[in-house]
Amino acid sequence: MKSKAFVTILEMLTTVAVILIAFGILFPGFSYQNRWEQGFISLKGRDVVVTMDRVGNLYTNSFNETALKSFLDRTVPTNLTGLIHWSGVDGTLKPVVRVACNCTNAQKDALISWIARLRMNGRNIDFDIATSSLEPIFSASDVLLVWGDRTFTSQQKTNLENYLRSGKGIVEIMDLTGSLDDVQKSIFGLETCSGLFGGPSCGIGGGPPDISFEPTPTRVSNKSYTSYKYYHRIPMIAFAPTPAGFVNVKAGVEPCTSLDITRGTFAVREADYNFWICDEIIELSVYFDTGGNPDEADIKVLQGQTFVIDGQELFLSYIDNNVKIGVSFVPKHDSYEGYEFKNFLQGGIKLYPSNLDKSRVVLSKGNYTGTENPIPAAIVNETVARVAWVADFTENLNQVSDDHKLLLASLLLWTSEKRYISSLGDLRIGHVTSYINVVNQDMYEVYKFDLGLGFPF
Amino acid sequence: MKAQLSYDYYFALILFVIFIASLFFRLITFFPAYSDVITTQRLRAEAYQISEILVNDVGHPGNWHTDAPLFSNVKRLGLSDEIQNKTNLIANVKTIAFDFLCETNYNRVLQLLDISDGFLVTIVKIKDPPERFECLPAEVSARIRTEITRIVAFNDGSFGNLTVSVWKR
Repeated sequence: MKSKAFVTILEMLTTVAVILIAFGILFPGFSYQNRWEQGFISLKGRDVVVTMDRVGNLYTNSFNETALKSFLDRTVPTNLTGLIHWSGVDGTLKPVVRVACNCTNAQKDALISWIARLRMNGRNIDFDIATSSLEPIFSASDVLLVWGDRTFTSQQKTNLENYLRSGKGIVEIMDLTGSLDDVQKSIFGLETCSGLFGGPSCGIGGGPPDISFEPTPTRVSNKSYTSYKYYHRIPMIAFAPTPAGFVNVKAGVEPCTSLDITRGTFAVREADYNFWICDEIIELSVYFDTGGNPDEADIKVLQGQTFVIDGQELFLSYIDNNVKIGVSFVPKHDSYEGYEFKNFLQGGIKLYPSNLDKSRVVLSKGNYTGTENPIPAAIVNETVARVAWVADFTENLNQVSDDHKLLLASLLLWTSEKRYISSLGDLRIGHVTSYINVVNQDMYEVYKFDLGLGFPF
Repeated sequence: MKAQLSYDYYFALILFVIFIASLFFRLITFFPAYSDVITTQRLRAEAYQISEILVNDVGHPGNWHTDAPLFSNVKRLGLSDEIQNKTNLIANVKTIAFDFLCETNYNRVLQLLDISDGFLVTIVKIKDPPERFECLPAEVSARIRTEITRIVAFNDGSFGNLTVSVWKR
């Protein structure tokens, strides 16, 4: 009997356990779930970005994390909303362009002194230059600069292709007077003129003395258009570090009435020109020596005005107090043939785009004799990413002009990776609001601004 | 012997009663909370719609703010700048007119926005010191209340918040 009762109790306990488990499975705790948090974040993101645009802060906040954080602290403060943010821009130049330079220490030092910083559309663009080999290539960079003639190995070609596949670009400064290796043909899209047209069609005598932006891109779809645009719209910086106190002006030129004058020098077409920033109370102006006596100013120029030096039209983009000026090169128009470099092309360079596409030629020195094929001094190519070849203009590192420096900077900027995201790790809930913005001070830019908001916990 | 009930029977009966009681208890505790959540959701939707009308609609007529002080010809309120007609851009003069209408005839505001239980709008211009407008009833009695805050720009170049609160008595 005792044994029978024991079995019955065991059955009851088992039944209770089974029923409790079944009950929990069949009737789980009720809850009502909604997506209010996702909707809340989406609405906040949209409101914040649109409001920034309406009050005219979107451009500044897109590139200035401090300004963006200040705006967000006042509109969606983390301590009240629990939201954190991240942001990024896509499709335009990064605030810091990281250059992996496959070059000597002297070349790297020269590069740093030439293009450490540019200012475009009111914001700074800094170049962060690091030395890199080609095996491996410095991966935390946006563009690779290969400086000086060399032959690439098959491993290096693989590395270059992988580098391009990650969205980054390559610029090479080489004379390429000999035969071309596989990298030059397949990545840079170069071929020798004689290889394409035969030796008799590749004569280079009798052309113009200078190098110009021919063929001039006539439409956005031309391959050389963007690098052409960068060169003509991004101002080169010229510093005026020396206090002058006085500036001699040519007869007929309105004198500077201020004693707050600083002097600097810039070089175009392989010649130095002095300039003086005159800080008068009413306005800032710049006096330029345009040739002749280097200690005498020939013209007075205000910000936003065009002036001529050595037959070239220049544009005074900005005057930054009495510290520096920004000068850009005026593109070709009805009464002006466009900027011309002093010739830096070695006689043995006879290249051409391998696909015969003239629109890939950025700079040329006339045409091959008896043909309409330009003699290139710079060629761009777009395969998986952007690459550019430019003939070596740096035979003497100390004699490189500002026009050359800007040419190199514009090619580096054009080829560099454009996507910039300051991202966060995994969030519990997050939402990214994208907004297309346009700015046009020095150069017309269209870019995408992404603002992410989310709850971390 | 036939009339006697076994322990098995009592045990099954107790289990059944516990089961029903538990189910009943769950339901009666869940439904009020469920009902409140549904009400909150409805209020959120209503607050959002009111904020949308105020922030992104110019009102009818577009220059309704010029109909002061009676606003008798106004058919719909909206604070958006009718000249620039951009989202999230509020006209200062409409904010002032809205504030005036709230102070003088709060019920007219309710009528123009088709609100039954009442609402509260706070507009804050973020500057030093902040500028604040409030549109609220004389007395608020709310069992469930929800609010939504929108970030807006003003046509004088400043920016701020517009908060809409709605409730159920």
